[in-house]
Amino acid sequence: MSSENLTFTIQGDSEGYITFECPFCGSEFKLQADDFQNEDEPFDEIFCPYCGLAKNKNEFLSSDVIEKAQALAYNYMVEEINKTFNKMKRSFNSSKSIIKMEFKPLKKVTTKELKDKDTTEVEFTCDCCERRVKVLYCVGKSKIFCPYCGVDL
Amino acid sequence: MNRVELRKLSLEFRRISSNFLNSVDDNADVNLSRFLKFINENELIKSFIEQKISGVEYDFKECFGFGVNGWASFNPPEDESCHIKALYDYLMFIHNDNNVNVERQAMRYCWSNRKINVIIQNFIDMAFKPLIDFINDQLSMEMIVLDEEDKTNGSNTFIQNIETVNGSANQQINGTINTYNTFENVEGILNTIDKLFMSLSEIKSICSDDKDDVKDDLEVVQEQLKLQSPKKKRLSKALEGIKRFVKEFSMELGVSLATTAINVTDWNFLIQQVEQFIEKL
Repeated sequence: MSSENLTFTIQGDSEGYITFECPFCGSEFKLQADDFQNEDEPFDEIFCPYCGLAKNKNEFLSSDVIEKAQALAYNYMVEEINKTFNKMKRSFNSSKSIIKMEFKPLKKVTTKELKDKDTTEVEFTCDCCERRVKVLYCVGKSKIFCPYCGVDL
Repeated sequence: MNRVELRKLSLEFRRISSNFLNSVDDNADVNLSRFLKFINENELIKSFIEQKISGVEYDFKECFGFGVNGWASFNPPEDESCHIKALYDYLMFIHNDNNVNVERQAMRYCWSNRKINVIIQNFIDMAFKPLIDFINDQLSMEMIVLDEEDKTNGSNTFIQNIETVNGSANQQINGTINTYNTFENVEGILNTIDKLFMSLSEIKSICSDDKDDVKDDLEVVQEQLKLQSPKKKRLSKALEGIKRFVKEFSMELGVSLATTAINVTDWNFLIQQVEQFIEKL
């Protein structure tokens, strides 16, 4: 079975931050797109800045991102099915054929552009790895963990 | 326990808890044993649990209702202490009984998902996450207490940043006064870099590749100084490049004195200023 890679972009807020969601506590936080995609310092896991628990970075994708990925995959599937059935229809409906075929193409779902808005979160920089995170200030610095190295800020 | 030790303990605990929560069929039993061993062997964490459950009479089988047909149901008690005791006792039960393992326990509950690894993770989340949250919160509270104590103990220490002192700085107050001379003259550093840029083109005895390398480093410093939150690593890396260049071409830079108003002292001044700037980040 062949595999297909679908790519899409997410527009960060005015400072280039993207929203992520913790799979353990469900809270949202923002990470710098530059830090997250930095190929010089790769990482597999993220620590939630609120509860401090770690999981694979893909598990932290927000529900909007997952929804968009699913919609793109669905649209790709629809496109392929419609293409195949159109081809089949053409071969069935040739002048020599005694069987005729009709089919109603599947409709694609609409996908929205992902754009992060500026919110009330405050930027913190980790003393240990110098990477940045945006979290709600009311949490207090004693309760925030660095998403990359896990130490408390 | 000081703050550094507490930070280390917090990180270690969260790492072990995360591994336990992310367990799959192959490693769930080992992760459970490691988690239990860690909380039992660490005095502080053990004391959190003991304080919470001391004097509490509660059978964990009331919380994790084991039916006669082999199925189990989850009925958490209203009282938090009873809940924590039930979770801890259940953990001990799974660990101590030879015939019990995580997978077998997980399969006793009804789940909407059929994948074994998802079932195990859902089971651990349901059964032991409240205990992890409780310990995590207690560790954070310890840190808050330590921070407050530090604030109280350090309230008689004053840090005074003075950029330029004309005459003597004198301030009378109870407590210790620490005075640091700071060089927040970012404008000054940027002006020096501009001058160095201009002087580089005048120096013919240094090959263009080496000049381009140091120009790149100077540009990085310039760029970082203009940012609201400069990156320490990038600045340090650029500074290393500048230092290397000055060390290697000190003779050529000295000779250039005749043609430009810039000399080695300006380069050393820049290095010193940037070093001080990095120290403050």
